[in-house]
Amino acid sequence: MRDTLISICEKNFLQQLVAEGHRLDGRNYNESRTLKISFGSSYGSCIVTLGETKVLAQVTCEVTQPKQVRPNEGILFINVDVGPMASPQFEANRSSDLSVYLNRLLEKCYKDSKCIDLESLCIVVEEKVWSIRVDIRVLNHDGNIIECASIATLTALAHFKRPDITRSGDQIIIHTIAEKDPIPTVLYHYPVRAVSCCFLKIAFMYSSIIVSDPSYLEESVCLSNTEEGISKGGGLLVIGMNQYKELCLLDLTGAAIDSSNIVHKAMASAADKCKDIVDLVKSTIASDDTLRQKREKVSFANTITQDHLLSLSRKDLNIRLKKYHVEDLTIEEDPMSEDDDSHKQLRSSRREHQNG
Amino acid sequence: MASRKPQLPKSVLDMKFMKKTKERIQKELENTEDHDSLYSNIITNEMRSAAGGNYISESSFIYCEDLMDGRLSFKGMNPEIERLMELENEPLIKEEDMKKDVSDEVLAKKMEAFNQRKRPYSSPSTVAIKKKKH
Amino acid sequence: MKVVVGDVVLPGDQCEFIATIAEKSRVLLGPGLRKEVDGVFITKAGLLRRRAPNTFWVDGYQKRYIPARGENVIGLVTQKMGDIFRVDIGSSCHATLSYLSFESATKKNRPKVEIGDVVYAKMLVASKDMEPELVCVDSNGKKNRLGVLEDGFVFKCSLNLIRKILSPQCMLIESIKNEWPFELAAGMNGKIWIKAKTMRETVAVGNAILASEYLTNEEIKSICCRMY
Repeated sequence: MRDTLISICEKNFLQQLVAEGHRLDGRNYNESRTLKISFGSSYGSCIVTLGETKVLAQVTCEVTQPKQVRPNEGILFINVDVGPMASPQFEANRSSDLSVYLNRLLEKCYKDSKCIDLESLCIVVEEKVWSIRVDIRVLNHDGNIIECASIATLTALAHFKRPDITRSGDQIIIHTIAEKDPIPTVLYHYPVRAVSCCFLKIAFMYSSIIVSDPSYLEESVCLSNTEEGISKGGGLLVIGMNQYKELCLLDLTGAAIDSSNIVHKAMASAADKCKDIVDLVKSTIASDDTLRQKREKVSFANTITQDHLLSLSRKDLNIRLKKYHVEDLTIEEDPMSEDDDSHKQLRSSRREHQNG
Repeated sequence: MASRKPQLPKSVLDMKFMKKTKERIQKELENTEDHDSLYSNIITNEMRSAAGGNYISESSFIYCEDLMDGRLSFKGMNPEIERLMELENEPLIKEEDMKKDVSDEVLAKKMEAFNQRKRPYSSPSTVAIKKKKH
Repeated sequence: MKVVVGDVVLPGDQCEFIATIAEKSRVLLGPGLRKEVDGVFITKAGLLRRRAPNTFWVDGYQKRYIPARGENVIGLVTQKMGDIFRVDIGSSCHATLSYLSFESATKKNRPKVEIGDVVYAKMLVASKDMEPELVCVDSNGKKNRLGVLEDGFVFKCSLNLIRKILSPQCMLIESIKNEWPFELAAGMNGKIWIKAKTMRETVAVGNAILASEYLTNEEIKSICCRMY
């Protein structure tokens, strides 16, 4: 992986801007970007878009031998791939630090928190179990891949249906989807991660600012500071929670480690956010199910053709004033109107000079 | 290669003590000629026509779309840049300013009348000016 | 397929009419066009454009920068290596910038450039087989408008937006230049550097530039007068 350097001016500007109470794209501190989930034609494939960050998840299953230590449990395998498609600094076919980190976090969140009923994946004890594999591919990297990837994993797992089987004696028949309705995966709870970035500045040593859903720039500013020294820096804070507001995962990097009040503050806001996300995931899966029952075609093609003309354009501006909307072309009140007046006065006085 | 180097005039080369240099230059010239003939069988006529002709290749959009310089400053943010911007725009302004509001003929007539009026005194200063003009 | 000006063209299409013009007069082939032995071919997808008298190019949407000689770009200094700086310009490989190619720089008097600085530089060498090379002086050894950009903010955008705001027909800069003091450097590599007196003003300028990508001149005027 080529190191990603951000310029001094970007870093300074962003830190100053955040300290002044703004964010580059006009969001509030604890505001997330728009989350969109769309499903592919098969069960268990989805694209999750968080602002400009895009992640594709695909769940597949196969029959394998179980692990010897757990003979009556199925296997869940998660694979994260961050290629050059996401961002040019990533190399193809080589696992970078980021993809290893992502993989570990996702496994912690979904495997170790036991959200999937692995016992239900067993076919024959010690012989055959279902192995579920989740492939995560980052399509575009604009910060906060972790949250986006976790939502994608969760949605794909919840959406996935494995083929039904029947057993007659020693024989096992796996039915195709056409023959028998497939079985959905059982999820005990829905863990989702919310990511917050915290900014610590020398001037604000004791008052840190927590920013949720960081963009690429915010994320890299926070992480670049941690290398230089804790006193200067910020850090990344990953909190995993399920819909019952139970903590599944906590991951701290950088300055977040040594102040407990930051973690408490972040946790309170993460709890509400996780609930919202889980609700959205559930409702989109439900609406997708009704669509499929009506035998309507669901595929990624729909999401592309919807806005055909500007399909390449960004939906959100990455530099935005608060309360700015392109659609209605109206921009909030004019706090600088006095300034404008003074300009006019200047102009008119100049005109007088020319006339005189 | 030989053509790019500053060449010694022939008269100098003919001098006796320049004999060795003359030989060396001749050898170099032969070498370059060999060089040209070396590749002549590889370079086809098609390749020559592809390179030349009426085509000029340009890989930049700047010249195609006539784009302006991207470094700009307004309202005194960076006086240095603004001065450069003014310098660039100056030729255009000058052309407009140079429009004569008094035509040459009118000026000549007026001047004549003016001089006639002044001639009676014919002060030393006007004489000096006239001298300068001539 | 044979194409004419204004068509949507695809790589491999052939333009016969350019060849016929070239028989009589000189033709300037811009980006996306290529002269082969048996005609002029398109190498990029987009719209075929023409500017009088005989300049042709393909106008397509692009985000990745391909170095071209003579263009001014914004780069990020990522490394100091002996007597050169390595500069990230967003192309497939890093560009080099010699420390001697600054105004009044000598072997002893090194320019003050640090890692992480942003420079506005001119592309001197841009060949597809070699590393691009940048300079921060013009042919007279003056820095002119080039050099290190201090403070301010840099953001990325599509290459089309840069061409749009720098084209003489675009009203954007005309409409915002009288609002408040600011300065701007637009690199042809899809990076824009802006600096104004306050944070808010800087963000507003950046906002206006990014918002103008898909707007007409009239719409740009209307957002600019309501800006801030």
